[in-house]
Amino acid sequence: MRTVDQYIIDRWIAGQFLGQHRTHGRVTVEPDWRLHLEFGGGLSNIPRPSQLPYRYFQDLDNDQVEVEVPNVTKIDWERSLKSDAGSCTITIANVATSVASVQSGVAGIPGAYTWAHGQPDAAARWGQTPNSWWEVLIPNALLRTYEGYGGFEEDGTPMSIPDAVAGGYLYLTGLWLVDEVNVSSNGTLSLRCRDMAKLLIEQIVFPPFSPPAWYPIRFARYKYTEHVAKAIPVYDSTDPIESGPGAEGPKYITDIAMTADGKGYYLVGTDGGVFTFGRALFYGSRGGAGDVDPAPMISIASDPLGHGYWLTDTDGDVYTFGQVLFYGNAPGPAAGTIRTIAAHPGGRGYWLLGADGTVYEFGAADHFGDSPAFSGFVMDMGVTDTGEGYWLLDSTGAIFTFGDALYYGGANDLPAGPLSPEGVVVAGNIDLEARPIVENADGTVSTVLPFTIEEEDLHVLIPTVVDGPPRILTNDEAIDYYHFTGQHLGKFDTEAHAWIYAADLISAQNLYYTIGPGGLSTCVGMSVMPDGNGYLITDDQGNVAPFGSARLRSPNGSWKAAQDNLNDPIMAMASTPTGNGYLLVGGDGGVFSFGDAPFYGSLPGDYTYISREDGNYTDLTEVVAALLKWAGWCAVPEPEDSIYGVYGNLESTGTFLTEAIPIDTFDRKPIIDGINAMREIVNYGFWIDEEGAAHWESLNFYAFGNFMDTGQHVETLVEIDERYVLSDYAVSFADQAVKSELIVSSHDPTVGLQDVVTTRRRMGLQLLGLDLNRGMVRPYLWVNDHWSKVEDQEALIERLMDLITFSLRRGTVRCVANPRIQINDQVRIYERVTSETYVHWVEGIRSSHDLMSGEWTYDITTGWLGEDWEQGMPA
Amino acid sequence: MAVQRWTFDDGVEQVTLPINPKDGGSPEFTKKVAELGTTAPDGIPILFEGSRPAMKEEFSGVLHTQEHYELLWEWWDKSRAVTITDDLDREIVVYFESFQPRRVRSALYPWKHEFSVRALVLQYTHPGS
Repeated sequence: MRTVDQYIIDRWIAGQFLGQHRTHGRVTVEPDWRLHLEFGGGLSNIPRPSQLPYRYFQDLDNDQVEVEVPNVTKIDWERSLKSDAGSCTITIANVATSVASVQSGVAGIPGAYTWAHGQPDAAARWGQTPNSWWEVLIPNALLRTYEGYGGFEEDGTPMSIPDAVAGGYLYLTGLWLVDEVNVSSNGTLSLRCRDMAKLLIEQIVFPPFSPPAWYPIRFARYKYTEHVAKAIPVYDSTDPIESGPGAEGPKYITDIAMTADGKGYYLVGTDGGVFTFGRALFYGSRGGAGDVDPAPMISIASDPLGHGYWLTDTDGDVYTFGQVLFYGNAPGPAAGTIRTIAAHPGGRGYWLLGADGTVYEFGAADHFGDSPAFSGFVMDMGVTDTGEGYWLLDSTGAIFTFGDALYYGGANDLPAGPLSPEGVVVAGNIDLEARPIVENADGTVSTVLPFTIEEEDLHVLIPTVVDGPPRILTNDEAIDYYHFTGQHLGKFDTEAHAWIYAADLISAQNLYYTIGPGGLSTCVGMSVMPDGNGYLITDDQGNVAPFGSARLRSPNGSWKAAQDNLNDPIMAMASTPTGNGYLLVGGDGGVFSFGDAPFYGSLPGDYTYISREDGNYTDLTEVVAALLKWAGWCAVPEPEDSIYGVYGNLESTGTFLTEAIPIDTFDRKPIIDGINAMREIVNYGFWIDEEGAAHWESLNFYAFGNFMDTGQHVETLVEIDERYVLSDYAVSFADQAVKSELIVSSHDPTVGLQDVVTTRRRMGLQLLGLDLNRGMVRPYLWVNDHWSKVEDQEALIERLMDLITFSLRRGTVRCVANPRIQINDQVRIYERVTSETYVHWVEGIRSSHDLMSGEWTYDITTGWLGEDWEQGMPA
Repeated sequence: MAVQRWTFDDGVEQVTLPINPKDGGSPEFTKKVAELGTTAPDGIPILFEGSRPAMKEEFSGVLHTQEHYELLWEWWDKSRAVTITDDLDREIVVYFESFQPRRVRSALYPWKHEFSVRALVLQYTHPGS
């Protein structure tokens, strides 16, 4: 909302634009305007940042020379948030009518302001002579329109434009570039123009618009560099550490952590070395840290948000790398006992675990208990997906639960079968702890090999492995055996339940008969399923036991041979974000992958790592700012500032894309296309205002009120009242934007990918308490991998609901023009026939100013902001 | 008291009319006001005043001679502004738009015509202002 003189506010509702208070319109042209490459006035010696070249079009010291265009009869302009550029048509009477011109014999002759008036052939034929308007009103001339009320002297003559502007009578209503000049023989000359957004539409991204060194334009939040390690690190527990953490102690890899996206992993060594594989980014290590820390590094935790990692040593001193925060070290008594660090799921805290089972919490992490006294060592911990609980694993494989963590079993007492099968109607009558064993070629054993038959509406699970001697029957033989003996593994309500039980039974039986009823050997690590409903435990031989929803996965590569020839014990494990795979790491840095866990390499061997540095922007607003500065919106900096600003108001988005913005977003395309691409990501508004300044802002429908041209927010609205200023109003109530369901997804939810994050909201009576869908199925699907977190998707859905609500009721109002009203404003409309009393958001304004009749009106298109908007949000 | 004769002056030459026009000679003063109605039955009228239209002036009279006839035609034909000084000593700058002579039968004056002249007022100074 523009700041105007009280005179304008009072006159607007007075309704009588007569005499000295009549409407007023003037037009000027700046004959010598052009895009400048350098600032004038001695400012070119200010050192520039590297984002050359800069152009500017607005002399901010108002040094431009404006010449008034005479005989203006009509000024019509239009500005809208839906259009790339505002448009304007200015009509003038192309006739010289002054007394002096009549005296000189040219009264009433059209063409005085035609750009070619007086060209040689016309001079010869009609005696025309070139005047001061020669080649002035031509395409790309820069015009300014000034409009308002009053601004006349007592004798009725208009004030000078500067005086009228200073007096608060006239206001700049637009900066325009001429597209087309139309001259007709009836004496009119009309100028069809667009606002300064023409510079964004007509100019394309191609040198020398952008710095040649930057071409093709590529904006990236991060710059990734692949490094090749010259040394081939060898980790061997018999080797001593010569320097750095744990100097003179054994040197081995002690932990592994997957990245949040599962596309890489980290290894950490007791000497503080950190090794990255895949897309895991290297943010630093403690390797070679010298004598600052004698305790060996013991554990690494990857930031759940992907911004870095934490290391801890056995004293519980925590080291941060990347953008993770430090929340504290373990207290003194924990020195030498710390075994592991585990990150809080929100990334704002962590736990440290002592070998005695003491848990130390930091940041957002809460304390839910310490393990009871026992004879072993607590080796590892797993955190629930809520962060409101954890499991502790001791060296015997026992599991202790705290908070909301549920018990699914321990590796110190492996069951012969699943503990709580679902859907069982009749329990199996076979002793699972005394099964015949058939050895398979891959080293596993088969003790059941079940299948199902249907009998009396139940699904019976029967084995094909039988005793006397141990052998495998055919299915028909197994059915006969079942009918003869009556032995079965269980009768289930559905075939699906039967097969789930069968899979779990096979895994449990394999573990029970290969590892033994006593369980795993020295347990060293655990990893939790992403749904928190299960976990995996590994021992130092790489034997893995699944519990709850966890499953054993097939090894990638010849795991059996590797397991039989491990150089060093297995030290730790990590699960993939899907829960469908896991990694084991040995003390020498050997990595073994299972299921969907990717293998990106291990130690020893050729070693490469990827580092990440800041790229050339941190906020999408910087991308828009660079485009605008190159296009002509470069503002003169403050004297103490060497940074060139943007002429306009740019609001930060707080958003960036993790991947580089594709080159074809900008390359050889109009600049406005790149800006619109950014706008679609953040749903900002972009427009050029009356003074030619660029606006890149969030749309003004998140709070009641308006933003003044000073940036101040006020709870003031212009009221368009039928009694004073409103001459016509129409409102529509339509369902074009109404949907039955809103679906926001990181990927196409119908393809069947397992890492898709989707949020859905059905819409029944949410819109005005009316069921506008009437049972119709018309969902709205928004797919964008940028929205990959549930909380972000829910916020987007709330915004989409707002937009749908706003679009239900749209208005078009005609009223007396008021320079106070701008697009993106909120106004209140009062009109009785349509029962309109609500607050509306101004989407577009069309101004029609007939200077001959004095009539000046606005046609405003609006979106309704809902009932009870004063309370802040639509009802 | 002798009647002051009307004169025409275009800055190059000056003439005096043999016979003053008998009717007209004062400009027509007009303002342009448009009205816009509000939608409320009890709403105020919205009034816009536009640019004042060009003033016009008309005068008419009678001429007796061919010289008078040709004088009026000649000054109507001029492409320059003409300053009329009337019998009230008012100076009005005009641009002649039309000259309409209508012959009147007269035994005494063969060239007798009644005429009317219409002109656009380019400049007028109201007496006393």
